[in-house]
Amino acid sequence: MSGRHELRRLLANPALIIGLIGTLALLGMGVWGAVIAPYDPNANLSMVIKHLPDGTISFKVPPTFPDSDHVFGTDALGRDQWSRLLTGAWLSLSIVVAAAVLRLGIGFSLGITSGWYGGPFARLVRIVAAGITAVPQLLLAIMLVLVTRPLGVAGFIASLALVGWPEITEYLRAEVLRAKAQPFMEAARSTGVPGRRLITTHLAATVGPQLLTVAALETGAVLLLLAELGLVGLFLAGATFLVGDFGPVGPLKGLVPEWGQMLGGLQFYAITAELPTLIPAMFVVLASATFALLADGLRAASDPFSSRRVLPGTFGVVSKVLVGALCFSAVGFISVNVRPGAISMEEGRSLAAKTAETTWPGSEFVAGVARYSSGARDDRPERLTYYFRSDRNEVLRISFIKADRLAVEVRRYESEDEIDFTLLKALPANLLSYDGPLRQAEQNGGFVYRQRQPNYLVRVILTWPNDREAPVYEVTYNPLTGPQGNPLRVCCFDAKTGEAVDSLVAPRVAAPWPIPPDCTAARTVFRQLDRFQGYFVQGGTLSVGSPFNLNYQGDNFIQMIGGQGTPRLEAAANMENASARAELVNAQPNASVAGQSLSFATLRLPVPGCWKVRITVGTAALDYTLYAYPWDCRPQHERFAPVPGVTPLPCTKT
Amino acid sequence: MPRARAVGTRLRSLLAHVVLDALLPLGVAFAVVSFLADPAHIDTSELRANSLLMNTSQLFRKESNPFAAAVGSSAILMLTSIAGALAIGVPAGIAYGWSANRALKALAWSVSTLAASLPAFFWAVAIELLMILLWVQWGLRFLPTAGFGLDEHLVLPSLALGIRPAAYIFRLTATAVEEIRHADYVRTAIAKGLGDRLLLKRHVLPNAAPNIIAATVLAARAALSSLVIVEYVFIWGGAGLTFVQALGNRRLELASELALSFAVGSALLALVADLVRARVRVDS
Repeated sequence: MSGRHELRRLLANPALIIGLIGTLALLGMGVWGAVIAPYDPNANLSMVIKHLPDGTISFKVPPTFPDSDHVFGTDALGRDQWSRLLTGAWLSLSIVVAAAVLRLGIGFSLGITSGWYGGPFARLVRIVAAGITAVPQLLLAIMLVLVTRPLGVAGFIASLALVGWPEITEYLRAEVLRAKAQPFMEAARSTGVPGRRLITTHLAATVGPQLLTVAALETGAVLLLLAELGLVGLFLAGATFLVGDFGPVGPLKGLVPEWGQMLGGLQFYAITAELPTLIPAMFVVLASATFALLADGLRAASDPFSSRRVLPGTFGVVSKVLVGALCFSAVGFISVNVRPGAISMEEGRSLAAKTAETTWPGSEFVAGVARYSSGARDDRPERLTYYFRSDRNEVLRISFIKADRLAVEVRRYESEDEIDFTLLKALPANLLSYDGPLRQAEQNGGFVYRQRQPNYLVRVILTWPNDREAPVYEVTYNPLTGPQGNPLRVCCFDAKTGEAVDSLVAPRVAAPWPIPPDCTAARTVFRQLDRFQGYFVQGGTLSVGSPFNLNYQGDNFIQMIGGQGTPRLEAAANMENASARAELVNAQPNASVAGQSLSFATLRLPVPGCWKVRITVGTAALDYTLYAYPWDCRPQHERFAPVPGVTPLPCTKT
Repeated sequence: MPRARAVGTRLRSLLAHVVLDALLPLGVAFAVVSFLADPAHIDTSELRANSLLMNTSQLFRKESNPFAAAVGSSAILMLTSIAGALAIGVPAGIAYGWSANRALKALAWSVSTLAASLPAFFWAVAIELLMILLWVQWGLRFLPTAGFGLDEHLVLPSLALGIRPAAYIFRLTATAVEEIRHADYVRTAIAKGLGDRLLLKRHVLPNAAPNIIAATVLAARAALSSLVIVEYVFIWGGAGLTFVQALGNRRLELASELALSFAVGSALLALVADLVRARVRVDS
């Protein structure tokens, strides 16, 4: 038979051709998906805004239908579904292929051994297999996922693999029994071929080609099981929905996109947005059908009694293509998606300087910005941006997305950080990186800000203003969308030594009246940060205070940096009212913030006035004095529900 | 007394069959489920946090015995869908085997291939979203997509659950009827002038029956494993949905009882399938 004949046979097998192309496309999607995704898969929008050609703007509440901007629509959190499908492909496919391979390993080894040797072992395998098949796969998988959760990815893969193998075992056992009775087997045995060689050569030649077919079939089945688990609400990565009275409120966990996770909200949103939620489900079913088609085609091509059979050599080529593609994509998944570490400010500067020199020769580096936002999936900056200023005062922006040295974005005449570039001096080389200032800012109110503002944008800005002697870092905290909450600006840190150069935090609100002179800070407080209340111990083991706020009657958030244990209130006395009792509620030990341990608690002060407080954490103790203003002096955005046991008092001096 | 001995042997083999193929696997299933549903091993908080359907049963109905209610609802759904599948699959299969219209046959066969190869999960989601699309786009609202009830609520879940069994029964009936139609004795009967109706009644159906029964049992077993997801999508308060809710609400005993009820149903069907298979072998 000629090559052309073989090719015709292959082309007469549409299931194989479609399945093969589809499988290669899916693997390619896994490798390059994250690169070609048109949007950040985690960029979430509360409103999908589109500029129409007639100049008007359309506003849509997600999930939105497909349109020219978002080909597959957006999901419940306004994230582009096509980008999420692309970016999630590698994770989903890795899980599915790994689980299918594990399933095959269990099924094949048990099937062949029980079919070949028989006896009590085979009976035991049959009984266990029948017992596992008796419980529906999805039911068993749900319980397995919940049990193996502490093992992470490995547990998830194991859960998908530990169901479904009995069918393979049964199938293989029957095949082996059939092959055992074939005349060529008998002939081989009668000529004295040893048992092991019978398995490795004769049996392998009969059963071997089916390995690939069963593998393709199982991959499709595992993908479907992954989708069903996702629908029920169990998925490996992605958001855990916080479910409120009227549906999901927001994501809580990390945000790695994954196909199972995309089906998670389907049940709820099917009522309001049928098409956008249907798309990931359809996509997953089609992907699973692709594997089923591939299996069908492979079976027809390897079956000696089929009209579409091909020569063993041709089948070998097809298998090699598949296995090669799988190996290639495994390497691709790792090299493309498992990214190298984030670059530092200095590394990025030298890289950006080269780009700037080729784009606008003679321009000088004037500002660097590391940007973080609440939508990020990890600790890396969302962008690391360098601003260069030409001699004509024009601005060049060079950004490294996710602080990745390979993901460079160059834009001319564009700034996104509201900096006045005309007032800046050129920055020298070898300055500190952005993480130190960020950590300090987090301790000085940033952490508390982020706790209160779920959608935030944090920028660590490096500049050298004309009126300063050295380059400085400042950190700004802004709400990401809408006018809710005020911004916080922590300024400034010396960019060479990392020390705070002046009063770190500008007060957010004015005090209603000055603090009485007899209510001053106690000795252990190292430094009073601003002219109002708020204490910060530097270099010590313990610090207390809400440094960017005043203290008020009611609940006051306090944090202890380096605190080893749960904070306890040892003593508290009100200077004017001896019978008043303060209490410490919601005390939390050892939260980790930006690499530092931090304990926090809420100090509940029932009456306003001057308080002397002693708080201990582990072996460290801190005495301090604070002045609490009446409840109604709180700024509007800080008035929560009334605190139990506290009678709100009007904002008047007593 | 050879006859009595034969009966004794039969009885013993039947007993061995029941023990080996039903009781021991059930024991394994029991061991696996009780290991997994042990509060020392399982942490169900994630299911509770993620699943949007944790408290629907309270919305739709209140039962004093949740186990019996759940299993009963599942049984009703299974029976309806398998009955529907039989009502569609068998006549269609006979018509296929009897017909000579090649274009129509090809069309029917491709439709059945499509129906049998797409999972129940797909059909459930597709049907539900089709209904919602009809409502949102054209204001047509004739069948409820969620909830329990022995009325029009039953239609969509049984449809989603029954499409694959119907296709499966159709295919096996069609092949059996086509095969029998070309058998020698049928040709002889036709040559002797037997009418179509008598031919079908006397020769074709009795000979195709074992295949149809075997197909039904296998289809029912397959449907049993898709029951969970269909119930979940249509919020049908059967054993599958109640299982998920029981897990999420940390009622682990109820959850494991429900999982085992699936195992019992599945083992019973497996036993029936084996017996039917043995009969088919004897008859052919």
